[in-house]
Amino acid sequence: MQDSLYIRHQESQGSWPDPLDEVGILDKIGTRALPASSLSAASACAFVITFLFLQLGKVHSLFMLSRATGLGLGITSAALAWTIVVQCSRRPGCFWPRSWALLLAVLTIAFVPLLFAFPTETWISALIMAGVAAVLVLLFRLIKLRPDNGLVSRIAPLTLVVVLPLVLLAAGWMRHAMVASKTLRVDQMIDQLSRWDADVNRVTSRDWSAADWDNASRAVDQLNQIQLDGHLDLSLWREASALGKDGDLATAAGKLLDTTVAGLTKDRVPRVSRLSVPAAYYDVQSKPKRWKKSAVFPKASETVGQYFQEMGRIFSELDVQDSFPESGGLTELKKRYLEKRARLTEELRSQMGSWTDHWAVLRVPECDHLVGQCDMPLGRFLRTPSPIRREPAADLQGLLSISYETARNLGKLSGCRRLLPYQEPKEGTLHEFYRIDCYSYSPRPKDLGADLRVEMRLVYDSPVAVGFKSSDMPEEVYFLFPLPEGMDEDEFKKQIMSDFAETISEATGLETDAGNRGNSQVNGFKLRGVAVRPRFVPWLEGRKGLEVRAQREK
Amino acid sequence: MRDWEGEFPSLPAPPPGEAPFRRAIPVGPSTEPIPAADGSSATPQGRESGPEPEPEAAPRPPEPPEDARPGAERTGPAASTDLRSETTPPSGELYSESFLEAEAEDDPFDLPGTEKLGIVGGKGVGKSFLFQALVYRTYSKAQAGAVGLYLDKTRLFYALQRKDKAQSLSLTEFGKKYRFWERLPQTKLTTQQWYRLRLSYGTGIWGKRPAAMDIEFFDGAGENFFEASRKQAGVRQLWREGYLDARVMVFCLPLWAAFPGKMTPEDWQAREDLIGGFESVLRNYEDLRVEGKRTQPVRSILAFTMADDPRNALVKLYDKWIVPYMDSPAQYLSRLQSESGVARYLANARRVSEALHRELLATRDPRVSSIRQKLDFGGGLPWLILLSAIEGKRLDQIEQKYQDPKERIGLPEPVPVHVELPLLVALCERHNALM
Repeated sequence: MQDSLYIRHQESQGSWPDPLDEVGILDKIGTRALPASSLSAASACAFVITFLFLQLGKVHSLFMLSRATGLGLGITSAALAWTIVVQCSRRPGCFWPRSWALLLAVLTIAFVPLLFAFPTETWISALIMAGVAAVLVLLFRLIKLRPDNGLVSRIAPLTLVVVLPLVLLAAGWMRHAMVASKTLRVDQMIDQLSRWDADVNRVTSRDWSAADWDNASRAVDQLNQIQLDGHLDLSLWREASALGKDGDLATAAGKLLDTTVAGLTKDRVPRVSRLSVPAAYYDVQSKPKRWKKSAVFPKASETVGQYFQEMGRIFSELDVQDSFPESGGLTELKKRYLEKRARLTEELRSQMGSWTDHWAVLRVPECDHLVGQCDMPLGRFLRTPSPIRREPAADLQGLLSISYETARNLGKLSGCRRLLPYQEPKEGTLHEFYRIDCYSYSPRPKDLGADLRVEMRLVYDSPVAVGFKSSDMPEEVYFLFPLPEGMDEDEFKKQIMSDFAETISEATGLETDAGNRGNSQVNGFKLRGVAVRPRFVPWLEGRKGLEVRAQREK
Repeated sequence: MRDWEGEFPSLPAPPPGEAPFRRAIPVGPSTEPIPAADGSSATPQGRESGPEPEPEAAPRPPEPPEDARPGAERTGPAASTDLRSETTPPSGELYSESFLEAEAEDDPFDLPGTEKLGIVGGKGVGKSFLFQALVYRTYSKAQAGAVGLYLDKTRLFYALQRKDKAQSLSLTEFGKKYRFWERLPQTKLTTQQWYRLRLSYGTGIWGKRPAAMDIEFFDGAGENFFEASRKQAGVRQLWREGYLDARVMVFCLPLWAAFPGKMTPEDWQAREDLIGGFESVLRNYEDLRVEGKRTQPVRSILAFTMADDPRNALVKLYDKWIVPYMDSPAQYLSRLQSESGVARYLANARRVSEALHRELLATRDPRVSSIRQKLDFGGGLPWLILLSAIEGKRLDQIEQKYQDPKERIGLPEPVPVHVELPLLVALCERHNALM
């Protein structure tokens, strides 16, 4: 009885735990391991989840960090990861949290060079973001927690629940911003391609026969504004493919491709052969007779050269080198490009056969890939059909066999100038001359224009008292090769004459006869009744030209 | 049921609805002294037993024997015995040479950077048993409970004064009395000693770099040190050295004193002494911080010792939190070898602590219910730990059956329950080990 009066404590708790009792739901996950391990596991989870979040789905390829952002995030996360490694290495504990911290630190620092090694790969950006998420979760290992703190069993799941959504939210927001930005970029590119197509079409539809070469030059200058390199690259195609707009992009690019190829066809391109006045000509009407220079030709030839160069560049820039199977639009465009390339090659090869205008084709970038050549050696040029009855210049016999009547009836000769008959004293007698002068050009080294390479004349000569008969044959075929500036005369003559003789010999199958012991054709040669003799004569502006005259032996 | 329980006479079953019958272990001056084996007097009731020596004017740690001082050529039983004959009872705790490990430390005891773990409490609360049990628990990594995941091995050093060189102690010899169920003599002014427990573990990136943390413990006399006025110069200095910079403080109070159950009038008187002693200790510690101008937060742990004592009212708690562990230590220690085991154990320890906070608030004794606030030294409310350093019931049985301590060799050793938790706190305070 006495005992009942004492103030005994009444146990108020109904239930007490066993030391290893099951814990509540909130603590269940966190008590699978100690915080160091569970935070490491949460960090690994954050890494995997963030990476998958950014890599799965059709628009995953749009998540690409800029170099500056990637570098900043990569270095920051690596620095934090190494801080964790250093701080936690001073503690006792298990192996797994140490190894994960070290692995994460190594990975985050390895992602930085990878960003530069694979700048267009989206998985690098995803890895960097995954590293950031993992490091942020693991950063909670630096918080000081004592065993009696309730967070011990909850910090890992709580961190994962709080940090991961924040990181995913940030990554999602970044991706959303990137999608919007990429969509805008693709749409703008499609619009741009359409505008460029219109620009090209406007330039290529121009009537080049009009003499206004200043306007023509300004029009061609606009082509320079069309820059596909750096715009129509693989990253854009990937973005367009991810957004489902690669078909639209391919259609717009295809139209530009068609217009570009069409603009390089013979009918649409500007040509110097249409000019009524050649680059330089010998004016027999002036007194005294002299060489004159065309005021229009430099600008016109530069415009033509620029046209070919720009159109060729646009065509080559439409060739997207890389491909990926996911984009049907790009695959279709590449197929179309190959078809157009074959057509263009055929077209440009045809234009390379032009005696007067072939030089412009040489202005096309990568002409060696397109037409197989980027120069026109003299030998090949002399075998090119001339405007006069398609006779190659090397076929002297053929040219010297064109009757006066035939010559008069040849009609309009592109790149040639038909002189009205004129009279001139010759060997004490007044003679009447009739000439067809044809001009060929080569690309001018210092700009996009052209220089006269050779002037070829078919000369008919008859005493005034006798007059021309229909059956009269040409007195001579006259060639003038302007001496390039800075070139040695003898060297130039030797090169021209040897190429000339060799080409003629190959074209006719006959041996040339130089009439000297070594059969050196430098000073001329004979070929089945035709004597070919060179000599330097004054040309334009104090320069010289190598005159090569092929005459029938009398 | 433990396999060795059959060796002891069965105890009568407790009445229904009451705590299992446990013999009261009264503590206090009223207990009758019984002769000790060596002829000195000792009180059998208290687990820290033995009469206090005559109070001294200024309680100070004893001067170490000549051969135990730094530079002494040898230490030996004879020298220690000589010292004891003058200043300490023969059952004192000065260690003979055979207790010391061959490898002596050259370091002074007072090393900078040592983590201090203050275990304080009034007279007869079980501080020395707690420290013995704590050291015993760390003998083996496999049986170190909640700290087993971290520890590789432990070493123990001692010194009579901080300025002395640290003497390396054999853990086996140090825990001999504990392992053989011998009551520890109450710590006297003359037997106060400094201990340093060195916990070795692996650190570094791969966890292979050996590292260690030293934990200091001052085994002071309860009545004449912890409860005595700190105005005495020697006591003040000792408090300062022992506890001023400790970041973890363990305040010991028997569970039954906080939550009294069915007790005799003598037990109530003993409780009054314990509560009063506890308040003296708290006051001394608070004064120490004020004088030392220390404002840094201190993690405080309120260790409810003697959790197996039948006088405590928390019978259900004892049945759930102490008994299963005590009955099947191997099962628990095995599960505490895994991270999940330790994590779950800590979660439940926190649940117990939270519930004990509620129990404290529910007590009618304001001196008890206010303890939790008094123990907040800037580090938050104390962690309330329930522990048992040695099973009192078993101790009584063994003492009755095997009166000669030599007969106790080979008996199952005591099972300290939950005693390693303060070590884990110190490890976390120093190294944030859990993270």
